[in-house]
Amino acid sequence: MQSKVESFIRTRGRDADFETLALEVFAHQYRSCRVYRSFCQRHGRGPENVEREAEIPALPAEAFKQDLGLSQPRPFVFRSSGTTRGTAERSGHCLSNLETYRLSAMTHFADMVLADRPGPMSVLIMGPSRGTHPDSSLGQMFTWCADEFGKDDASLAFDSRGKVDIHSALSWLQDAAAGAQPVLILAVSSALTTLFKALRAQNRPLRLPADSRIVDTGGGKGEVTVFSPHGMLKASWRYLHVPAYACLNQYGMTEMLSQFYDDALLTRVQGGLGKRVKLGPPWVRTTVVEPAALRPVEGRRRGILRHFDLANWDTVSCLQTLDVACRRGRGFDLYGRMPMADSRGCSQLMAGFDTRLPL
Amino acid sequence: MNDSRAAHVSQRRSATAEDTRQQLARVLESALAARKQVLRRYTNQTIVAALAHAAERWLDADYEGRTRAVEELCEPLRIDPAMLQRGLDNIFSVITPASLERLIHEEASPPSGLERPHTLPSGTRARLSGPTIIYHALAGNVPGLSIPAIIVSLLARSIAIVRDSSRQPLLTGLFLETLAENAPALAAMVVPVAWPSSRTDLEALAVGAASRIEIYGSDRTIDDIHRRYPDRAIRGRGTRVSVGLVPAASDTDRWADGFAEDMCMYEGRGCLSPRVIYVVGAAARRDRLMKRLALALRRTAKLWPQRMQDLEDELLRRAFVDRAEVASATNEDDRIETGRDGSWCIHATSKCDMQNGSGMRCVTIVSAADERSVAESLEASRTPTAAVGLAMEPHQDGYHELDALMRSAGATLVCAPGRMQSPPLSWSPDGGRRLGDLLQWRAPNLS
Repeated sequence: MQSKVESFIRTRGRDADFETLALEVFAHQYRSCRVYRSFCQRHGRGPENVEREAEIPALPAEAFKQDLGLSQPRPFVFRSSGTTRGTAERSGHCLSNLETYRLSAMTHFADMVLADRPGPMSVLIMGPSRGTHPDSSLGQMFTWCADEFGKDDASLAFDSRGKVDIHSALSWLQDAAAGAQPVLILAVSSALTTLFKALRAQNRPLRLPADSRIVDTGGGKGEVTVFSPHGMLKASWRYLHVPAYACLNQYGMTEMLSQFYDDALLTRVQGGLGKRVKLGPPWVRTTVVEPAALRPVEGRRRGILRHFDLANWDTVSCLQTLDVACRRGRGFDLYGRMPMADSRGCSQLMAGFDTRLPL
Repeated sequence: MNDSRAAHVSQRRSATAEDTRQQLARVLESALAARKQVLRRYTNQTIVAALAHAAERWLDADYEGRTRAVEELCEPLRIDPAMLQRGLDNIFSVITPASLERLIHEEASPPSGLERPHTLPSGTRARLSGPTIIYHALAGNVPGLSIPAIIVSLLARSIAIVRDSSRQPLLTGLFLETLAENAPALAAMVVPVAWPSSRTDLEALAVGAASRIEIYGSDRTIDDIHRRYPDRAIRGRGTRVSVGLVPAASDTDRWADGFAEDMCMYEGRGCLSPRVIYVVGAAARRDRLMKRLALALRRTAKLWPQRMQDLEDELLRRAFVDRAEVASATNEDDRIETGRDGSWCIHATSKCDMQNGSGMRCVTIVSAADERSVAESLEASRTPTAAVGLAMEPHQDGYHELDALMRSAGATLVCAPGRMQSPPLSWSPDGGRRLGDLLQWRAPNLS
């Protein structure tokens, strides 16, 4: 299974049929994951009566907070940060090996963030890394990005407690601004917001070299309120002189080994214009569904995201999230993740969920 | 002031604070004049008769105001007309001459103190009355929250500034039109106001004019208001949850219809819809209730078809269903039943968090060792309890002991399933005295 999926990823699906492979992956997961099998049986679905990828039951991402009952021992475990719901509610993703994750993450990163083939760049990480957060899938990915696409050792401005080191970040950025080589900033959105606030406070905008780029992800990590997506683009230009098309927000989750990026840079490289959307790789199929019936929504109505990620062949590929989005063009607009309201009682006003938070 | 609609202070987003201040001042001037008239001429009996008469009109399914309310409120509230009809019956059926008189007799001592000055033991002359002006800010999750607020304010001879949620401002105005037909002075003592929640400058005018502030809302809303007016005493009625209890001695089958109705009313948005039903005894009893409740929910879905809900509400339900699905796939002891297209959900489990609930026709049924452990769960909950739907007849042995046990655990209403959504007029979510808490002996010229 692994080799088939990795082959699909390497060729971006040119030589294989997504549907066929998805059904194979489903049958494999039905056999090897007890909780998923039980879930499918409750819905009366199994490999014997599922004929299309769209019919495969989507396991709530919530399930990754439990032991999935996987058949083989898994030496690698990634855990969500759990900052929004407390550490007791952390999701865990257990993997046999990291090869598919690395291949998936790096292939799509290259396609979306390095679509113009800028060559190796110096990298600043203002987020988790393998060293600071060994059980963070994002930290693993940032480290791989630096290893694979960086010119030299990445600079870290983020400690194991999740605090951004603004002083060293500013120092690194000043050096970068003095040079002529483009740089790559990988950051959690809260750290980037903190950086912009510091630059604003010091009234010291910098001018990073042309072709520099910024990838931010994760919304608020900790207690910092993050800028809106639009505010992030404005601040990137104002304080770092990085144009909007080179600022890419990533959407991902611990439970899923593939990611989505704003397609702004890819669109520009392809000579297009158009508003940015989140775009996943060819080995992920994403559908916006109604929260009640879980049927695909029509047109541009908002719904929640259902993913089928072939890269998740080792656990469960078909995932139902509570992430709100609407379909647009070749991708989707992401609105936010519903905060899990504790309870609603008598007089609770209908509080809208925050659509400003980039995820 | 014969036309209550003239008293409505309704401001759009662009209104200036000065416009509103002038408008509010004009309306309050009329309300104060009306209050003088009420204090001078209206006895308890006159007020009771006027209120009960207005409520009775609203119990007529063909009454024009009611018909209009049903036509116009279902859409913003996203509920079926048949459900709203039942809701209106629940709201107005508890307003009768007998219930109003009982409320006065139980909470105003002596009732005649509301009608004329008395000589107090200290020798001073005083009259029992509420504050001159009460500002009620109400939530919009369920209809009709303004009605008991208006009723008790008027019994206390207080002017009521009523800010309904913009989601459902209609009912207050329509009820006041009915009241104005027979008791224009009473209707003129109620000032419905409306402005966007972002207009805190307009809110400040109402708060400034009022001598008492009563807020219904989420805990966050109430905290925000406390922060905005740190020097003002504010009575906040915040988030509460309700539960069901099937004691060991009770039949599990008999109460399913009542629980279903309480769960579904207003799509479970109110604090009186049970989020958790405790079944004392073996897991088989819990599972039995689950089957019966599923049947009842199917029937209720036909009586009160569910409308398309807001995305936020659908997400809450989806989150509940997802948790239940995962729990039933993970734990052998957990069970789940869902309606077509996920329109309702029952999750049966052996352990649960009292917070675990979304409304939206979703409920958790949990086994309990005994009734005392249920009381301990309620006491330990972060969210205080509103109602307990006690699956027993009041004449059954042990009813009064369980009623007392649940109240000692914080419940402010104990009643049979199926009655949770029609609390008595005297019920206050926080357990306070609805009328009595407003009343004070005041110097006659200050009343």
